[in-house]
Amino acid sequence: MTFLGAGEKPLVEVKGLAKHFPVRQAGLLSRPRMLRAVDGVDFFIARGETLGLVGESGCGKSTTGRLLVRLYEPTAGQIRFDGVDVAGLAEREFLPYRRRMQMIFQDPYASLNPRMTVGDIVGEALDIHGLARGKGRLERVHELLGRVGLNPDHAMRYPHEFSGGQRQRIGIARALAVDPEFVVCDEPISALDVSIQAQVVNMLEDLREQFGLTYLFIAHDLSMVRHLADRVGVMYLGRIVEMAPKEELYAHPQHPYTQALLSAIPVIGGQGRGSRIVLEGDVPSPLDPPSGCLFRTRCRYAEARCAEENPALTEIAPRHWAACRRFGA
Amino acid sequence: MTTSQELLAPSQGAPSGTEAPELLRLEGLSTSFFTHVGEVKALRGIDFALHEGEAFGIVGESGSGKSVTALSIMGLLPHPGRVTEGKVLFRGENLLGWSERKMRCLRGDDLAMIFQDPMTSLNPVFTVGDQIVEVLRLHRKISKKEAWERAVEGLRLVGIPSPERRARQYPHQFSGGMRQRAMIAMSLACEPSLLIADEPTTALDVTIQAQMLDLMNAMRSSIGTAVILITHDLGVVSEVCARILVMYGGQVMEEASAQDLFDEPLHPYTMGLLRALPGYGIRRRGQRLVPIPGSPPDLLRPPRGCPFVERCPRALRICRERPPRLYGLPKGRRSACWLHDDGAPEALRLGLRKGAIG
Repeated sequence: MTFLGAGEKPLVEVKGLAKHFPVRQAGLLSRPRMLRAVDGVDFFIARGETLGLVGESGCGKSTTGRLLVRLYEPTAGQIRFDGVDVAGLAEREFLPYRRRMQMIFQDPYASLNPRMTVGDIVGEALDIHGLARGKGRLERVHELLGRVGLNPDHAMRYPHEFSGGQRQRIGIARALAVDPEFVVCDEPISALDVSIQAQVVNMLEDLREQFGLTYLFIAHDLSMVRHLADRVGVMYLGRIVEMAPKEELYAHPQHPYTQALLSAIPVIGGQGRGSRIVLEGDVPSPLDPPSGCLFRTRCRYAEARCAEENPALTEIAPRHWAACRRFGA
Repeated sequence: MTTSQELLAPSQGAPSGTEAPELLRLEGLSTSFFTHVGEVKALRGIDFALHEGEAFGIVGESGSGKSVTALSIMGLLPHPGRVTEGKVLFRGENLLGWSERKMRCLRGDDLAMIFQDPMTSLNPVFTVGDQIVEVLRLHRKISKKEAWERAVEGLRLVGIPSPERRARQYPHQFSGGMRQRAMIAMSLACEPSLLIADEPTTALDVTIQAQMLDLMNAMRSSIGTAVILITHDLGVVSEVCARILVMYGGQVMEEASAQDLFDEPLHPYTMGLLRALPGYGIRRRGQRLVPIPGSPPDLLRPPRGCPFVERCPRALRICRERPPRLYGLPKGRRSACWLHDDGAPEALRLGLRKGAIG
């Protein structure tokens, strides 16, 4: 593996990760049903690597990202960060790890407190982790704003004075404030205009280089993931159905869902393209998932035995994993 | 400013399906929002023409004026918006002079629109079938029973399974993709000659978006409705539309056939937009995206010259001073850039030649 030397431990390793949300039902005495947002996910991210996580809304990709930085408590499973299982740590013990992992959110409007100045938004994490005070704190805030292409005097302003792209830069400066090693980027560009997207993506690339960051890059825009990620995992209904290095995944998608997902991307200059696989119907409700393979209700290869067992991820080529009964298992 | 003479020329020569008669023509359409901080000039002189049965795309970023264009055509501008100048000619008649009553008869009948978020345009307290029946009975003299049958048939046509049962359900019982299908069924109930679709797939997932684009293409060929597809997604527009209009800062930047536009963009803004996309400008691994620096203009104080001047790598001095006219170019193309002018420096001049991007 290119990113993982022999005997080297990955920075992040996830085993059997699950998050079930109780959903209230109508009726006073009925028990809440469980929504299986993430249901048994395994993967690792090597130091310095960017793992892309793609899938449609409701597939559990954002929940996975939030679980990693413990914005949600997992229902089951392990999250090993630098060798230590942080899933079970108490909040106090977890604090030093939280400094090492940060998050950039999708919505640049909802993720910044409108009553705080930009300086306080970026500086808050410095206070919490006791990293800088007084003049040092101010200098650090100015340095961070400079890193993301904003001016030092922007520190005195409030979020509403900034455009979407600038707000996303503030969110990035906030994530970088504590010198993290690992950053979860949850759809960081999908709320931005095309011309601004490229600015932010280039900046994420530069920062990765400068600080040796490791990213989990969550997106539904498959072309941007292709540009930014080293390896890509595809999620469907709370499970990873395929994972491979990006060249391999985009050139030889094996899981029928990945194939459909890739062929569904509208291509510039693609008018009259006849080869698109159009999936029938909608994603089933995660409250009431199908038996066996979760994708079988929309799969063109589905057979009777797909209803019996949910296939496990199998290595079908070096570093290329897929969960489909057509590949044994 | 462009004269109507200049406008007539290129549009007549526009590619694909121009045999059909003209359906819609916008002439110098300007729309402003009169807010408490001042007049926001959302549209400043939009000109284009559309023929019957044509699939026409309008692309632009947020604030470019693409949705305001649609609302101005439909006569649905929210307060404090108002058309300040220009004409909306639908089959030769200026809709801007029509009474609200007359417009109401036209909307939903010969002129229909679908919006980005189907939930805000479907009434949550009526069944989907009843809402389609309402449209039909408003515009056609038919019995309730007949209208219901046609509503069910409409839902079947847009690919909703078991339409008899679905017609009796409420919008919240539909998924996002199904709601958008129901919206399409409703908007096409009276077989309009023009359907304006404002970001119809933006709220949908890619696999559902693919279904929707196929559906729109199928419906267009079966009913013969002309479509104006408004989107920020160049991929989406390229899959549906034969001709594309690029807007920026409330003005038209470029118009061309989809193929020509992507093969050889002529306006610096279009070039920049395409280069900023992964997988278009850059194909080799490790190459960086080329962003457009800066941000769009403030339409409270629109720039005197070209709206793109602050972000344009090729800007001349005149670009700041005076807005360029929309130059008519070969192959029915139009582009608003001073670099097409005969007076522009030879070395910088932009015209049709291979390798304009890169």
